[in-house]
Amino acid sequence: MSSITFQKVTKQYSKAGESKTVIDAVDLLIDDGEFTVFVGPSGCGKSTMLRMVAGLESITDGELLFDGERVNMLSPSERGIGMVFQSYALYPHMSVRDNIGFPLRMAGKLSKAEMKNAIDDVADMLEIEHLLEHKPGQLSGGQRQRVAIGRALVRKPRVFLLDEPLSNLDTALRVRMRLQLAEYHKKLGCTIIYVTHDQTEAMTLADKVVVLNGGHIEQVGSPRELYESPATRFVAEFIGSPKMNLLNAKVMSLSPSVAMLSVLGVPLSIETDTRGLVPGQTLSLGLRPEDLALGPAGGIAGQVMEREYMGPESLLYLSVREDSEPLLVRCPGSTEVGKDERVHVQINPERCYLFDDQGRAIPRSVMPSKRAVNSQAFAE
Amino acid sequence: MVNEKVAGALNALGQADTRRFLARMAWLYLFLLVLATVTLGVFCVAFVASLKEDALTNPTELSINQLQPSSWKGAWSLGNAGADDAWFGGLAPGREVVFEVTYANQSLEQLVEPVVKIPKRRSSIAQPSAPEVSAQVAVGSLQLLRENAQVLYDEVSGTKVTPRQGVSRTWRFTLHHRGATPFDQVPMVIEVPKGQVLIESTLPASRIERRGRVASWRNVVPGLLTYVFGNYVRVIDDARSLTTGDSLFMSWTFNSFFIAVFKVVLTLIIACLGGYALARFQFPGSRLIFYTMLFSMMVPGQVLFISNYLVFRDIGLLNTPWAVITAVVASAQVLIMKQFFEGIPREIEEAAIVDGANPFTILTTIFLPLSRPALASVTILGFQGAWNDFFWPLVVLTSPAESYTLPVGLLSLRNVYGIAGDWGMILAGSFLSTIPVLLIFIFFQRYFVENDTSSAVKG
Amino acid sequence: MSATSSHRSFYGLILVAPFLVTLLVFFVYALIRALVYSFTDYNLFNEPEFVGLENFLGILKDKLFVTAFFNTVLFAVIVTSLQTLLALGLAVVIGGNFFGKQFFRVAFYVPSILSSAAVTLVFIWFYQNNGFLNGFLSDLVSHRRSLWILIAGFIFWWIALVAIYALRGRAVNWFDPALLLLSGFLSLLLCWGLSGSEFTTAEEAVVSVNWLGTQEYFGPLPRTMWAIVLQNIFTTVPTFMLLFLAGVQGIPKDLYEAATIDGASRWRQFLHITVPQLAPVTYVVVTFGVIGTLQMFDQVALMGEAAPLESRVTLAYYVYHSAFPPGGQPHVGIASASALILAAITLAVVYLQKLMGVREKANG
Ligand SMILES: Nc1ncnc2c1ncn2[C@@H]1O[C@H](COP(=O)(O)OP(=O)(O)OP(=O)(O)O)[C@@H](O)[C@H]1O
Ligand SMILES: [Mg+2]
Repeated sequence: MSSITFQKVTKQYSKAGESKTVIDAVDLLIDDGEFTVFVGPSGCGKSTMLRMVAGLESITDGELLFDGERVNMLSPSERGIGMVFQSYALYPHMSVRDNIGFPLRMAGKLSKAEMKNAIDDVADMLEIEHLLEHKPGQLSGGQRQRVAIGRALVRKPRVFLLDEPLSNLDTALRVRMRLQLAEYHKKLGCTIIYVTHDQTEAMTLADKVVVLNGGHIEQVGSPRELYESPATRFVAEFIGSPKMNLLNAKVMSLSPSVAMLSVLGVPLSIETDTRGLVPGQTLSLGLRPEDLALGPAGGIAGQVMEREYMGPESLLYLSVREDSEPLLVRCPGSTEVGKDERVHVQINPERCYLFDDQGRAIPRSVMPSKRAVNSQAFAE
Repeated sequence: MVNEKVAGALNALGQADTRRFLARMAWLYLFLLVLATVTLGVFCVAFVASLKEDALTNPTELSINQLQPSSWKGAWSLGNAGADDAWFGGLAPGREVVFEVTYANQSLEQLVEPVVKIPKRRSSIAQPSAPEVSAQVAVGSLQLLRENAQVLYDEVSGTKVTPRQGVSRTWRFTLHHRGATPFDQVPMVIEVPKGQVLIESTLPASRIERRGRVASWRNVVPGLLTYVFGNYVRVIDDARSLTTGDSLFMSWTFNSFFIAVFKVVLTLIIACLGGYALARFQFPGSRLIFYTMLFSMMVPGQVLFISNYLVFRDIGLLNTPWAVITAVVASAQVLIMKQFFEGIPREIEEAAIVDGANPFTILTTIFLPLSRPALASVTILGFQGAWNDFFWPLVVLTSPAESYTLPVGLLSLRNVYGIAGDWGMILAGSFLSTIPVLLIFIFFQRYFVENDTSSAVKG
Repeated sequence: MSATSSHRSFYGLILVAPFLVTLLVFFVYALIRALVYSFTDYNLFNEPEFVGLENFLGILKDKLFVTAFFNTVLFAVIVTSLQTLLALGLAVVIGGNFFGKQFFRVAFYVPSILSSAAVTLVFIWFYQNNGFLNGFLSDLVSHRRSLWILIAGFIFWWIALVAIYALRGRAVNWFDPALLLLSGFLSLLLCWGLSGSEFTTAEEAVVSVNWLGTQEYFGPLPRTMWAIVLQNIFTTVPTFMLLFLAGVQGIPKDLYEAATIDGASRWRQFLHITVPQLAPVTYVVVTFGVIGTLQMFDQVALMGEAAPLESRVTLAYYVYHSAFPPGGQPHVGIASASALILAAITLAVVYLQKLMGVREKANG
C-alpha cells in the first residue's frame, strides 16, 4: 500500500520537432488505500496519467512519488504495481494458471509450490479455480476480466491500476463487476487508480474522483462534493445523469447576498456571493433535471417535445424557446402530461448553480449540499 | 436423321441454363487438366526419360522397359541370384546367374548361335580404378532351350519397322564369378549376324547397336531398384570424389542440408531480433535502418558479390559452408517479422513489462509463441530459398567438388556428363535434388500459398 | 530522455545489432566497395588503381555488353508482359473458385518452387536436338492429317449444329459452351472412326530445330533466349495465375451485377471492372516479374557450353563472367561498373512502378 504524489507532472509528445502537451503540470495527492477514479472525456489524458504511474510512459517534467519516494526512473516492475488493461491483455497462448503465474515467474523469487499456492489463493478469491487450465480464448468477457485482475493482484502490488476495465462488458455484467471491484478493494485495502469515462462508475466506486479535461485537473473530490458543488461548469455538466440544464441568466440587480436574475424572462432571486458580479452580466444558470418540478403556473413555461417514460420516473424534454436547447425535467413516472402539452416549471432557488463566463462556479452563501443526494441520479 | 436425334438428345438434357452450366464446367475442368498437363507434363516426360538407360533415345516414347513388370521380374531374380539382393543386385564371388535370350530370324539356317561377351571397358567412367569385370566373370556355354517354328516379329532399322514372319530359338547360359571382388555391375554384349533379331531376354537390352547386330546390357545383375532407377543409383554411386572416393552427390546433399538448416536458424535469429526491434523500439537510427533494409531488397546480388567474396577470401572461409551460411542480409525476413509483430496488441507487451519481463523474455515467451505462422513461413520459405540458391554458392564454392551444394553440383554434373550425352544421369540428379523441397511443399502447402496471397493483398 | 525511453533505446540497439551488422557488412560496405571498384582497375590480387570512367566507357564499347544489355532488357519486357497477360487471361477464364482447387494448386505451384538449377537442366534436356521438344513436334507433323481432320471436323460440326438450331427456329449463341463441347466430342468421334484408314496415316517427319546451340535470331532475341523465355513463362505463369485467381475471387460480385444491369458487354466489364480491381495484384506480379527477370542468371550459367555465349548472355551473367572469366584475368572494375548499370536499371524500374502505382491509386 502506498500514497502517490504528482508534483507538477507534465507529459509532452514530440513528433517531427513539434511537441504537444498532453498532461500539463498536474498536482495531485492520492492517499494510501484510497480508491481513486480518473474520469473525463475521451482524449483528456486519463490513460496517460495512469501509464505514467505504471512507468509505461516516461514523465517529461515534474516528480512522481510513491510514499514520498521519487519513482520517475524506476521501471514498471520495480514500482510494485499491478495493472489491468482495457483489452485485458491476457497472453493468448498461456493457460489461465500460467497467465496469473507469469508475474511470479518473472520475479523468480518463489518456489514452485509457493507459486502454486499464490495462484490458487488469487483464483479462490476471484472464483476462477475451475478455469485455471483453460486458455483465455475459451473464457467469457467477465471471466477474462477476473483473470486479468488476478494476474495484477498475484504479486500483491502496492498500487493497483485499472484502465477502463469494464468498458468491454455488457451492462449487467458491468454492474456486477463494479460491485465486486468495490468488494475486492474493501478486502485488500490497496491503493487503486481506476480510469473510466463513465461517470456512473466513477461515482459508485470512488473514494476520490479526479475529473480531467484537456490535460489538466478540473476538480478533485468525493463523488458527493462533485455532484453537489461542482467547481466548474465542465464538472457540473460532466457529473450527473441526465445532464444538467444550462440556461443563460442575466444579472438584473445585486444586493450583497442576493442576485436578481432574469432567466428566459422569468425573474429569479438567488442567494449568492455577489462580489465580482455586475448588473447586466450574463451568467450560466445550472439546473439539474431532478431539481426541477412541474407546477401549476408561473415559473418557466414550455411545451413538451418528448416524453421518455421509464417506469418510476419520466424525463420531459421541454422546448422553452425556439433557439435554445430543450430543458430536461425529471418527474415521477405517474405524472400525467402528454406530448405538446404546455407546462410550467418551478425553479427552486436553493438548488441552482451559477457559473461565470469562464465556467467557474460562483460560490453560494447557501450551499445546495444541505439537501439529500438523489440516489437515483446514478442509476444506470 | 442423325442430326435430329442429336438435337433431340440436346433437348432432353433439359433447360438451356443447366445444360450450359454443365458444359461450362466440362470446359473448365478440361482446361484445368490441359493446364496441369502442360505444367507437370514436362516433368513427367523428363522423369520417364530419367528412368531410361539413355534419356535421349525415342524421347516421346513413354512405355519403356523400366516400367514393364516382366523386366521387373527379371531384374528381381537376377539380383537375387547374383548377390542375394533383389533390390540392388550385384554379383558376389562364386555366384552364378542364369540368363536366357530368344532370337528370331526368317529361316532356321539363318538363325545362328549368338556370341556372348563381357566387354573390356570399365563399368564406370568416373571410376578409372575400378577392377575389370571381364577378367573375373566367365560366360558359360550356350544351351539351346526351345525352338519355335512360327513367330511374328518386327525388324527395326532406324525408324523403319518391318513386320516379319520366321522362326525363333531360345538359348540359356550362365555368368559365373570366378574372382574375389564383388561387383555392383556386370556389363554384357551379345553379337549376332545381321537380320537376326533379339525378341526376348531375361532382362531387356540397354541398347541395340550396329543395326541390330550388337545388343548390350549396362548391367545384367541389377536388382529391381537398380534396374528401374538405374540412373538414380548411378548418380549417387558413380560420381565420386577424386581424393576421398566418397559419393559426390551425397556430399552435395549433406552440404545443402547443412547450409540450409544453419542459414534458416541464423535468418530466424536475425529476423526475430531485428523485426522486434524495428516493430517496437525507437532508437537512434531506427528509421535509417528501416529504409536501408527496404533499399537492400531492390539491389541485385551482382552488385554485392565481389566485395562479399573478398570478405570471405580475407578471412579464409572460401569453399566452406560458412561462407554460404553467414552471408545473409535477411531484409525480407526482418520485414515479415516486423509486420507480424506490429499486429500483436501493444497492451499485451505492456502487460508483460508491468509483470517484470525484459525485452528478451517478452520476445521469447510472448511474441515468438504468438508468431508461429510467421515463423513457419520464414522457416519454410527460407529453407526453400537456401536449398535452391545458386548464384552465391557458385561464387564461393569453387573447389574441391565435395564442397558444392546440390545446385552447383548439378552444374558440374551437367558439365561432366552432358558432353557424353548421359542425360539420364543429369535428369536423375535434378529430380533427386528436388525431393526435399517437394516434400516440404506437400506438407506445408498453405505457407507457400498464404505468403503469396498476403503479399498480393498488401501490394 | 527519461530512464524508460533510454532503456528502450538501448535494448532496441542490442536487438537490432545482428541484423545491423549483416546489413552493414554485406550490403552497405559491399555497395560502397562496388562503387569504388567501378572506377578502378582491379583483378582481385593487385592494388586497385583509379582509372576514372574508363570502365564505363570500356563496357559501352564492348559488343558482348551491348548484347547482354539488349538481351536482358528485352527478356525482362517480353517475359513480364507475356506472363502477366497469360496469367491474367487464364485466371479470368477460370474465373474464381472451383472444386478440387487443392489438387490443381499443387500442379500449378510445383514448377515455381523447384530450384532453377533442376528446372533448367530438365529444360536443356527438353531442348536437345534429339530431345523431347523436337520429338514431340515431329510426332505432331507426322500425324498432321489426323490433326487436320480433327480441326475440320470440329468446324463442320459446329456450323452444322448452329444451323440445326437456327433451322428449328431456336435462339442460338455461337459460343454456347455446350455446343462447342458437343462439336469437339463429335469431331473426336469422327477422327476415331477414320483411324486406320488412309486419311489418317502417319507420314515420316523429322523436326530438328537447334533450340540452344545457335546464334540465330528470332525477332529481337536470339533463339536461345526465346527458349529461356518459354521456360520462364512456363514456371511462373501458373503461380501468378493463382495470385490473379485470388484477386478475381476478391472482386465484389455486385460490381458485375450492376454493370450487367447497365448493359455493359463482358469485354467492357473485363476492361472496366476486372482489370482495375486487379491492379494491386498486377502491381505485385509485374514488380516481382521485372526484378526477377532483370537479374536472370541461373539459367544462363547452367546452359553452359550448350549455347554460344553471345546468344545467352545477360547483364547478370556478364558481371559474373567479367569477375570470374574461365581461365582469364578477373576484371573487377568492369564487373562492378556493369553491376551498377544493372542496379540502376532495376531501381529505375522500381521507381517507375512506384510512380504508376501511386497514379493508379489516385485514379481509383
Ligand atoms: N504516442 C502518442 N503520441 C502523440 N500523442 C499521443 C500519444 N498517446 C496519446 N496521445 C495523445 O494524448 C492525449 C491523451 O491520450 P489518452 O490516451 O491519455 O486519452 P484518454 O483520456 O485515455 O482517452 P480515452 O478515454 O479515449 O482512452 C490524446 O489527445 C492523444 O491523442
Ligand atoms: Mg484511455
